[in-house]
This record gives sequence, C-alpha cells and structure tokens, in this order.
Amino acid sequence: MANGFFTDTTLCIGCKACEVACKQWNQLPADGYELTGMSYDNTVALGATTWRHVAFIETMEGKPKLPMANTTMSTVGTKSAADGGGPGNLPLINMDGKAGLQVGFPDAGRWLMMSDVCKHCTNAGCLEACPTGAIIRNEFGAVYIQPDICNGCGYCVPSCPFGVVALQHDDGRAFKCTLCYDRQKEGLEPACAKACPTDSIRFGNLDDLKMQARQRVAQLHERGQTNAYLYGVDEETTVGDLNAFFLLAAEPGAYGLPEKPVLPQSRVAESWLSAAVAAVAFTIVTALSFKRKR
Amino acid sequence: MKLLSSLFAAQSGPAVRQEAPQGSPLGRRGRRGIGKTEFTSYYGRPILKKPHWVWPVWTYFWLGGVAGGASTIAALADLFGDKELDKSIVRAGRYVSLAGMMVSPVLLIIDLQRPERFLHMLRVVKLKSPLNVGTYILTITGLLSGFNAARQVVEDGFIPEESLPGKLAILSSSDATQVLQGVAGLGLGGYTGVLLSATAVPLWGDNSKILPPLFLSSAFATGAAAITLVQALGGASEEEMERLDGIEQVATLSELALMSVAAAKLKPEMRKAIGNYRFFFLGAMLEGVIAPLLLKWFGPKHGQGLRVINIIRAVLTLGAGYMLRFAVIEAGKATAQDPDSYHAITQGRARPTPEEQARQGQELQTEATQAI
Repeated sequence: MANGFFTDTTLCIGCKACEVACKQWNQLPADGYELTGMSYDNTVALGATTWRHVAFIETMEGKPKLPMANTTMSTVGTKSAADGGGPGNLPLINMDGKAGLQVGFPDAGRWLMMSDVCKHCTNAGCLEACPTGAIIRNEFGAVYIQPDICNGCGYCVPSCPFGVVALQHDDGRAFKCTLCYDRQKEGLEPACAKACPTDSIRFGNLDDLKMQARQRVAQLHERGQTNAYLYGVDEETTVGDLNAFFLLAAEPGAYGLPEKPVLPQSRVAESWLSAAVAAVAFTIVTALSFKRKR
Repeated sequence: MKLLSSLFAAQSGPAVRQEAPQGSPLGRRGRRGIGKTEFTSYYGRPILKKPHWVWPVWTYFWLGGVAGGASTIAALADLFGDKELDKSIVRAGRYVSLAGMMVSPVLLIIDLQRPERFLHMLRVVKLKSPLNVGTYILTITGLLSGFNAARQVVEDGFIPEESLPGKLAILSSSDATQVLQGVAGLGLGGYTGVLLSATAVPLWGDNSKILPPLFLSSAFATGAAAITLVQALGGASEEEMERLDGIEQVATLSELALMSVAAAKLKPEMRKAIGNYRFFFLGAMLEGVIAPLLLKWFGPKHGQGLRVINIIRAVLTLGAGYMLRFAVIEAGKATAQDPDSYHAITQGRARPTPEEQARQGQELQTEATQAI
C-alpha cells in the first residue's frame, strides 16, 4: 500500500500553514528573515530544513480578466453580450465604473500558489544514487533518508531531478521530506496535510487520490478552467509517476518544475559503455606502442 | 450554472497558458538571439541544487586519473614492453600509482560531510550508483597498487628480499595482480565521468557519452606525463623517455577531439550559463594538447634540452588535466543553477494534455454516477 500527496494548487490560498506545520512537527530550524522582494515567497525553495515550500507565481503582466457577477451592484454602464459586453448578458462593470468585462480587481494579474514538496518518485534519482544505501523506500512507499546511515557525500543532491534534497551545513547530512514517516507509523496523516485549511494538500492511498484527482480535472474543465492538468500522474517519463503529485494551472516551468523529468541513472548504462569502448581502445593503442621494436 | 461556467470560460481559457511577455518573471523569450527557445521559470530561480563539491573532489578526479592511467600504462609496459627499455616506465608507473592511491582516499573522505562514516560507502553494492561502484574500484586499485609497489620496493633493494616484509611483498604481487591493477586503473580513470553523467546536472547529463572517454583520455595523458616526469627527473635515457610519446599524443589528441564534439553540440542555454568557465576549457586544451605538441615538434631533440622540454611538457599536461576537472565541475554547477539549461534537457511530451485528462476524468465521473 503506497501513500502519497495530492496537492491541488487551484485550492491553495498561500497561507503557508503547511510550511509551518512541517517545521513544527519535524522540529526544523527557521531559515532566517530574508525578504526576496520578488513576491510573497520568502522561503524561495525546498531545502534541508524546508520540506514544504509554497510558491507564489505573481505577475501583473498576464492581466487575466476577473469578471464578477454582482447583481446587487448598480448597473451603471452595463453592456450586454449582444452589444459587445460581458458574456451571458450579465451586467458587468469595472471598479472604476467603466463598462466592460473587467469587474473586481483591475490588473489583478496572474496569481497562482503551489505547495511544493518532495515528489517521492516511483524511480527516485536520489535513492538510486545513494552509495551508502541510506536512502530507502519505506513500507508506506515513501523515499526516506535514514539519518543514522547518511555520511554526507552529497551525491543525492545533484541526482534529484527536482532539486529537492539538500545537505544541512552544520549537520552534514542530507535531509528532505519524510512523508511524516513517524506520524504514518501511528496512523496519522502528515502534518502539512493535517494543517491545510482548504484541503489543497490531500494525503491518502495513491490509487484513491489519483481517482479523485482525475475527476477534479474534469470538474475544473467543466467550469471553464481548461488549463488544469495533473503533473505526476499517468506520465511517460523515466522517473515514473510521482507519489506526491500536483494539479497545476500553468506550464510546469512556471512552478519551477521540469516539463519532462529524466531519471539521471537512465544514462548510466550508455555512459559505462562509452567508458568501456574508450578503455579498450586505449589499452590496444598503448599495448601496440610498447610492442613496436626500436 | 451554464452562465457561471461561461463566465469562467471567458476568464481562464487563455488567461494562464498564454505566453509570458519579455521581462516577466515567468519567462523570457528569444533572449540574446537564442532563437526558438522559450522557457518559463520561477523568477529565474534554479530548479536543481548544485553539488557541494569543491577542491577535494576535482583534485581527486585528477589524481585518481593520474594513478589510474599510470597503473594501466605500467601493467601494459610490463606485459608487452621491452624488458630493459621499458623497465623505468613500469617502475615509475608503480610508484606514481602508489602515491596517487595514498592521497586519493584521504581527499574523498575529507569531502564527506560526515567523514567518520566513510566506511558506510562499502555497506551495500549498488551497480546503478557510480559513486558506490567507484568506491569499490578505488579500494581494489589501492590494494593492488600497494601490493605491486611493495614488490617494486623489494626489487629496488630498499627492503632486503630475505626479510619477512620482503618475502610478504614478493608473495602478494604477481603478474595477475599487475594485470588486475591495470584493469582497475581503467575503471578508476573512467568512472568519474560516469559518476558525473548520472546526475541531473545539465552539462554532465547531456554529455554522458563524452565525459567518460574524455576523463579516460586525460587519465592516460596525465598518467604518461607523471611517468615521464619521474623518468626525466630520475635520469632515464632519451630512448626510455621516448617510449611514452605515442601514448601521450594519442591521449591528448583524443581529448581535443572529444572536447570539440562537446563544444559543437553544446546547447546555447548551457553555453550562456557556462560563461567565463569556457576559458578554463580553452586553457586546458592549449596547455595540455597544443603546447606540449609544439614543444615536442619545435623543441630540442637531444641532450639536456630534451630533458628540460620533457619536464615542461609533463608539468603542462598534468596542470591541464587538473584544469579540465576543475572546469567540468564548476561549469556543471553553473548549468545546474540555470533553469533554462535544465529545461533544455527536459523537454518533450510527458503526460496527457489537459483536454485528454479532462476527458478521462469525465469518464470516471460518469462511471461513478452510474455505480450510484
């Protein structure tokens, strides 16, 4: 039985309760008080002491229209669809009183939020890379770093296709989300999922979660949000499906995710082969150069 | 209900998957004439985390290459070479490899962030982890190098053959251990390239078939250079030193060829991310390939002049090998920090389109309703 996360970013309100709950339960230290100035995201990225990270995709340049049907508002400047106004003959006004589609927050821009986490990949780069066997797949299907084995070689860090694992400098070992191994052993859901006030983070059996997620995509499309899609489900990648998958509403790159993640170890065989070919060639050349008589 | 959905349709249809304009934190388009490429990113922040590796790692990559190359050259010289003429090569090769093998593990252990746990490297066997395999290669090469160098020490008369250490040294080494050391040396010279290739780092991953032969070429070039250096300083004859020239030239020229291929097929995003590290690659080629060849062709051909030239050539080649490892690691880190470079190697269709996913979800919904 594999458990995982379904993070539905369309439900995320950016409250960062998951970040805080994770830090609190796992007793992770604070990361300082630096402000990025780029957005409400001052956490910036996942790290050794940050196992949940809420990304804020904020821009004023997309300027999507946010029509709001408000029948109690005055209908000054109202236009119907028939004369080029809002769709469905709904009375629409702008906040500045001008007629048109844009009602509510002018220039609201694009504002997406996403609580990022370790993906606990089906084929995990960090797990394959780990030379000590410290990284294992536990009984709940999660990728887990055994802290008593890790010797801080740091090879898992560049081997993660999502840039999740990191070394903790003062400690020396690699850390990342454990999918709350300890809580799961007691039959509890992970701290982040427990804390999420909108159920944007759902925890459970992966098969159930995937069924929910697929239906959620259909629901959103019915409502007109036709850009909604699942990231990490039914994928054709060497990494395989993700035990922590996402419902996204923009291209993966916008969230700092690769379009098509590649398992680094999928290159090992060809790489060894090229080494072997070169080794044979050099052996022959060297042997011949010694064999020649003077 | 229909009204509501039509409202949202007006809102979100084109709203999110639209192209981000230039200068937006979401994406930059056609920057600096890169052309068609257009990637979105999260405020230009790195997607990947770069490895922490610094000087112990590139020093080890270089030194392991020198020792590996010297091991293989010494074994082949003993097997196929002239018993008298190539004696100094075998001898120097064994000592060079011993010296390298004595320092290499120390470098690797101090690079660990928990050095006291270095033995954990040998608690499992994982063929898919080049770092794990490499640790075994290093351990085996180190052991064999010790055996074969010990025999050399006895043969050179530093330890009497009749003494207990002398007898043990002769016992521990044979033609078999020497051949095995030669084979292990090939592994030692090449596995570091495989190790880098098997990461998500764009520069390394995208050159997975070039890095291992490149590092192996450098291993042979620097291994031969180290032996030449010992020969030249140890007063070997001109004929003895000349025996390695062929290997050195083949190795350095294949380095140049592999670097050229890598440079030609380097993705524009990575070219930009690498930036000034390109000068280190260029420097390594000038110093390690071009300069030694020019010195060989136009330098003095005999006498004390040749000896000096050989020393200079060897030092240049060794330095270039070091610079190459440094440049590969640091340039790799630079590409790991660049989201565009990573997007460039993670393109392609990975999942059903949003529409296909919605259709599938609808079917599931219908099934669920029917079940009720």
